[in-house]
Amino acid sequence: MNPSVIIAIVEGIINAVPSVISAYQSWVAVVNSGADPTVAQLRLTEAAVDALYFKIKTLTAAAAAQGAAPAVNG
Amino acid sequence: MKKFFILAATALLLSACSTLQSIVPNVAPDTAQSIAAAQVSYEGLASAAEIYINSGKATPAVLKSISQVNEVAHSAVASAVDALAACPVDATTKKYDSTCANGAAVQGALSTATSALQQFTTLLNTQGVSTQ
Repeated sequence: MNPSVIIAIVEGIINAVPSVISAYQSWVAVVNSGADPTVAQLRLTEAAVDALYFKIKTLTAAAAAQGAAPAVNG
Repeated sequence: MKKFFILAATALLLSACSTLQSIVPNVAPDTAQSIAAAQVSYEGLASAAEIYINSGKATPAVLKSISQVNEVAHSAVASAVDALAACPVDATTKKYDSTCANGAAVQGALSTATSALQQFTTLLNTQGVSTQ
């Protein structure tokens, strides 16, 4: 595999993992507190979920249009 | 230089994964907490899918499958949140009404979301993408 592709993948993972860890840590804190997540908290996370949903939707459409050769830094 | 960067980045990644694995809740999550976990799970899967798509390794057929499971999983998780949000909350305990949260509407939506997330996970794992 081209080194630039490997670097792009690793960069992407590093950029994505902290936000997922942060969301997971927040969830664990809620569970350990004994409280349920409020509707506001669920909606806040839903906004992040929606953003990722549209990102994947756009990326798959763009990649398909380009014959499965998407830009590395999407 | 590139090899050094790759090694350093891999070390950082392993460190992050180690941190994630060391954090677990002390008690079993209830329905509301499980739905919140489903949101977090979707975020992780979508992030992994994004990285995989950007790697350029996905075939057109796989891209189509990712697009489909993304639609289904997102919709299912959103439906579970909507079902739970319709439940009243006890002002004292700050918990959702257990009869409502454990009712067919919420439990069915959570089950559908869990199944959709599992399909998303399976698809990515089949392509060699780690989702742990």
